[in-house]
Amino acid sequence: MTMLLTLSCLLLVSPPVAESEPETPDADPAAEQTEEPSIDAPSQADTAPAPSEADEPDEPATTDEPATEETPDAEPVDAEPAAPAPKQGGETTLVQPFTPPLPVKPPRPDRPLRWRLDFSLGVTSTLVGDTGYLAFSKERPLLGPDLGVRFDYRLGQRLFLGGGAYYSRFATERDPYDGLLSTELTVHEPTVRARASLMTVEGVDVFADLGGGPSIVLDRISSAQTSAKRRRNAAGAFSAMGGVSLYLPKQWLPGKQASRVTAGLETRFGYQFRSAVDMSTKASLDDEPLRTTTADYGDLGLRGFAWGVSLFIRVM
Amino acid sequence: MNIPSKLTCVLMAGLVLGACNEDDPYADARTLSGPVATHSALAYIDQDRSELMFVRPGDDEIELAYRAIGDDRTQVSWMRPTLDRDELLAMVVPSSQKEEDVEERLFVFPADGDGDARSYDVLAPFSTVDLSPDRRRAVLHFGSGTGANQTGVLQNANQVAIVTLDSTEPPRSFTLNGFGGRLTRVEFPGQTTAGQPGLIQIGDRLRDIVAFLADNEVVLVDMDDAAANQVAVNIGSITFTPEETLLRPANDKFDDPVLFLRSSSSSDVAMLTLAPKVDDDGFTAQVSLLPIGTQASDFITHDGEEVPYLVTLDPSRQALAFTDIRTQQGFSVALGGTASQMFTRTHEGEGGPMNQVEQLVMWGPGGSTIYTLELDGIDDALGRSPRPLGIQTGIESLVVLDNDRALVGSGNNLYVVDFTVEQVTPLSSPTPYDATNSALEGNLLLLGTSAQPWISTVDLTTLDPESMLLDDPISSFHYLSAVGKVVAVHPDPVGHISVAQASAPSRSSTYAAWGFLYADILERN
Repeated sequence: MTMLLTLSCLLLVSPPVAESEPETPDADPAAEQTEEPSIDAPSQADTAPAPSEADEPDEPATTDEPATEETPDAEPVDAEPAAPAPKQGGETTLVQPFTPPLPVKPPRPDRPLRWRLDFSLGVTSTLVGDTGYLAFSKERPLLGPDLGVRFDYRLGQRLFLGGGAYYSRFATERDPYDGLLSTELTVHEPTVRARASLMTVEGVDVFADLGGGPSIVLDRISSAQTSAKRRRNAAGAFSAMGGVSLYLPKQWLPGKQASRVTAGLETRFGYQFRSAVDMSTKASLDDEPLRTTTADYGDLGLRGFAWGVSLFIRVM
Repeated sequence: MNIPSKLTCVLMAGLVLGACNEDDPYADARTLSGPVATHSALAYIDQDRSELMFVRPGDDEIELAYRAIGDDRTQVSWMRPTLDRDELLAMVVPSSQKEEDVEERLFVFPADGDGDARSYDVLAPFSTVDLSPDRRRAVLHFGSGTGANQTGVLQNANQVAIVTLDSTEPPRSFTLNGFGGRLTRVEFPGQTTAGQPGLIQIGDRLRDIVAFLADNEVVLVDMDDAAANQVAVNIGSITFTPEETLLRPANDKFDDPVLFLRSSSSSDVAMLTLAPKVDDDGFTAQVSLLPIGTQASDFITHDGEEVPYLVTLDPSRQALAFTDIRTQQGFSVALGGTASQMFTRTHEGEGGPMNQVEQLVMWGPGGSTIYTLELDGIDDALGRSPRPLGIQTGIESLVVLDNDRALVGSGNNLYVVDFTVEQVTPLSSPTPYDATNSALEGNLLLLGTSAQPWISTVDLTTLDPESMLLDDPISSFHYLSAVGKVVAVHPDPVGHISVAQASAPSRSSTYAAWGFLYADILERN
């Protein structure tokens, strides 16, 4: 967790070193323009006289690449002029040497920000208010990894709406009552979340999301002398979260407005509700055991204040 | 501080706050003790929650009931059922000597915990209770032995409290007015039949006598009459440690009621003749010593046709001594074997069922013979000798099942003794059986011995034994007569029992319950 936070902070506070690095073309501008014709996005693509698809319909990228790479070394302006041709018939004709035009790398087209696809990896935690949870963990936070993919679409100048699918897993165990019991708890939680983001400035979004999905709870409560089978319970999980998403703005990226990929850090806070699950258990007995009733240990509600932090890679 | 740094601080603070742990209710092992069986439930003490847990076996599952007792400043020092197991007594004392202004109280709960409990302020943290056979009273005291007072608190070793269980009146608390001996034992000499009152007529008053035994002395108290005096009797200068009392009511063969005191270390039986006091409403006792040979390990009274006898069993001489309590004269009957205990039963005489005679049954741990002796006309039947019933592998314990039958434990063998036909039937098993862990459901003998996984039954009409294998060994065995169940408790600290039908135990109708001592731990923390 600490390493994750440190990495996140380093990512955010590091200078845009990409600007000082040699520019390396990473995409086919023609293909980009084909995929995303600028229509109404408020980008420089609309105002700048960028080469249009009609102007350079067939310009292959492969023809530019050698020229682009040779340009710094060729220095055509300093090249020795061609020797005048021998005069025929005593008359000399001044032949203008042909100077090929300097190869100019076409500026990459700006890329309007119209949609975003994020892949996130982080941790999420619920500060469980139910004291019964302490039978499974010495501490109240229910902490686990969180994986997700989400997509949102730009609906206005600053507003993005979308949603995503996530998967979280929590696992804890304890030997309560001085080792008299042995408890295990594992939660698998696939959820979907709807999300609204407001881009305050490029690089800083505030967002809110509402999520829900099943919560698969596996539990086992054994005694020192009798082991128990793992039981599976299903519960409903609902969350209401809000947070801040910090990411590298296009200005900081090597490709400037043409960049397609960025990364960032997201923190979120809110409330996580999970419906209570019945924590009765079943003894693991020998073959042909007597009909055995087991204790009902009560209900457990894994709900409470929740937070999460994640790193994400954004394609846009 | 830039935004990421602030966020980091906020997150770290959240983590720290989340990690802060309050009182952890699951850290330490719970203080549970028990079970004690009533006629319909098993009861456990939960000191942490200050409550009793009643486990009520049903046909298919158990039902749990919790009853509060005391509070966090108190603890339950002991509990036990009444003699008919219809109620449960529990003593509440301060949980620590640092707790002040906490009253010691005796709680009385219904057998299944269903209903209100009564409680009595008993003034002292008594460690022992003796229950009267008539089921009306409980006598609280501090017991005997050097380990009785382990609290370090100054105690009055001769302080007692008499609680009338069928009344809400405050207990009668007092100190024995004796001669300095420490109370060792409490006896109810008049109450010889369970559930029946045992009043003794002294003069023109019926009295309910309790005897407090101490070294060389006895104190008699009328439980019905708080105004009556305590009668303290010093046995004398000889070393006499009373162990047992025996009351002989007055009749035409001896005019005054007599209380006998037996001591294993004495060759005499103390004979206390009870009489009303002349000057007030109390009573008094006149002591005399009755020589009975060398030793008396057990005794009864028997009236011959003319003579009131005291019958004592002398294990050193292996003989039965009959002593006329008027003249101290008597005779003895040789047994020819070891016997130290005896009881009486009625036996069909030669005249048929209408001729019921008193029969004496004698036995002793370590012996190999049970002796029976019919007492009718014993003073005229010179040369009458006891009839032996052989127990081949020796006697370890004997449990009287009813008037006609007894169960003898002997290692891996059990013997069912039928006195009516003088039949001894051996039952053997690969594991030792404890005859004391037995119960009788009609004619079905139920057996469940610790450390082995069997519940066995013996049909006493056919002597056909059957056994049912449980899944785990037994740690204790209980017969709940009111619900017709036998419960085998297995050694698991979270609670593990098997419940079987007492009338016909079988695996198909038996079920187990596991983990019940920790039920609701997630909600009742």
